[in-house]
Amino acid sequence: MNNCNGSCSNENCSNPDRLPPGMLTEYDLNQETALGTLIWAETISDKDGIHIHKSVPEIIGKAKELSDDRLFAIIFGSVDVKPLYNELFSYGIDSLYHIRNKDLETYHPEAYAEAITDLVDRIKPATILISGTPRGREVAPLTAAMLQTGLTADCTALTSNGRQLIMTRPAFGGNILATISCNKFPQMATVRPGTFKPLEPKIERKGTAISRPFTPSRLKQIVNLENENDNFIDITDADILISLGNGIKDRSTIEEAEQLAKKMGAKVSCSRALVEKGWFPHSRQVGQSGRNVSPKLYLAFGISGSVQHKAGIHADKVVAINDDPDAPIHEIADVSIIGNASEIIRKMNSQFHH
Amino acid sequence: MKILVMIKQVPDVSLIEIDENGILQRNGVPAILDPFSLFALKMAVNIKKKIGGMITAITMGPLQAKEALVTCLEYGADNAFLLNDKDFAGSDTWATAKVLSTFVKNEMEFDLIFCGMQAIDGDTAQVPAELSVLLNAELASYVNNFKMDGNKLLVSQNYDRETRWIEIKSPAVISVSGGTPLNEGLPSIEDYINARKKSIQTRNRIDLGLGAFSAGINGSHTKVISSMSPILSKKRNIVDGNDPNAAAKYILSLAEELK
Repeated sequence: MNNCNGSCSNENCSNPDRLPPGMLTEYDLNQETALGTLIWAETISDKDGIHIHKSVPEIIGKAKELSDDRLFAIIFGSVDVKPLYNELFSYGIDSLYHIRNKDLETYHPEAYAEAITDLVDRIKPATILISGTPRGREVAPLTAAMLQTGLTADCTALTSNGRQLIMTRPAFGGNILATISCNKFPQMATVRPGTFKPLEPKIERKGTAISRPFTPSRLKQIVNLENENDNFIDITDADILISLGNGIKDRSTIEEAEQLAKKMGAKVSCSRALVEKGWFPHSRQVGQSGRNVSPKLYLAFGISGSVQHKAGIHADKVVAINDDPDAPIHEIADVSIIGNASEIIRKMNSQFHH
Repeated sequence: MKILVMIKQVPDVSLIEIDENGILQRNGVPAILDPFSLFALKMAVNIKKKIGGMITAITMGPLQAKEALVTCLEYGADNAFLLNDKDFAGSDTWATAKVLSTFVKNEMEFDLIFCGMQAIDGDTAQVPAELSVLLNAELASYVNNFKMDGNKLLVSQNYDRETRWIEIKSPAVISVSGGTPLNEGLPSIEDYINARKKSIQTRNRIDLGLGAFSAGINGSHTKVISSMSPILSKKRNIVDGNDPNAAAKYILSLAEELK
């Protein structure tokens, strides 16, 4: 019985998992053969050149932790992305498919999804992981629909059961954590940036880069692109956040908070109420329906603290400033200051001398 | 211009509470028109004002979701459809997009479909993209503004670091992330009364010609295995902030400690 895998046709075999005589395991047509994980190596361009988005090493790290199978990545761009090959290999990518098409040096969501779908037909991965960035959360559902498979959005935990991915994500505004599986391969997930620790890069890790031809069937009619948005502030990398909520009744307080933030080296974020009022863009909103933030210090001014808002706060220290001692924000505050939020911002602004 | 607006009725998640046993308390939580749906509807209404046309509001949901459609009629939709069947329950984003796209293919001609970028109960932001693929329409995500350039429709998309203006060629699915503030442009009393005269029709699974395994839990590719309520609470440490000067000084000292 040693070495017996149940696939022999010996009728005297005592292995309980033995297949009927004459049947080989290969005949099991319900068995999916897909293995490995495909990752989209999203890049960003700024004045310093092209970089891999900081969330990409996070998902590579998680994929390596979940399985020893092959790790594939797809990257779009001109020769300018060549210097990024070794960086991706150092994080653990085994095979890197480089789509070199002049038109696709600019982000085109449908065309990117088509290229990923086309590659999936070639390599048949078990899993596709994409960062939950604005682009990732657009490309992923396009790809899932083209592949007619399941997709779980914005996961905050991933485990595996064999080849099957077990995905966890918050729902109902962070009131529940739902654990989800997919009944088709490839199974797909987008992953909330900042959730997983990136793997330490190892220079000696090597991989293969493959140049892959691809012609998109359609492109977007882009009229104008502003690469660095003047008004975009990335609240996810701030050490100190001055966060404003519905208790702020006067728009001039926002001005004061922005001035104060500049002096303190902080950034200003908000709760959903102020986005709905049109006082802040959605990108400044903290919470399950906005961004996850992990500053050292989170100053919640006049924020009542819905569960969906609290779910986005992963700060070392939370200070809640609110004149309502019963506001739910106090439940997660290290320090609760019962007072007038706007007034305290004004005083901080006048006291700060640096 | 034939405009469809896909909307969703959601529980007001900011009012959901979790009891001491970690159980989600949904009783008494009001159902509202999702704020992103309202942003989408308002943009559709503003476009209709510029170039004319007809707006149809569509939702898949329980019978109660009719209330959300009535709200849409008050805000300026011309008619509405409720896709309702017990077999639609438990649909994931794929099955939802399947039901919506089947209805559109069967009964609707369209130039533009507006959707909220996401809904506050699920926050997946997947249905607009999946719908665009199933309807073979162009997708414009994260749209927060539009303008007319002659008779071309241009929309601005907010990708955080990047803002792009693209020209929309119909058929297109437009997912809306913002626009007219929700507390502006409320319906007038006349709108409110007129809404009662507009029609809301209902379609079920058989009307759509969908098999039982093409919708709901059976038509979904993803399945919720389990769910739990996270516990978020810390020990409270309360300070009197009656003196704003002292409070300001204290907060600044906390910030100073980080350096």
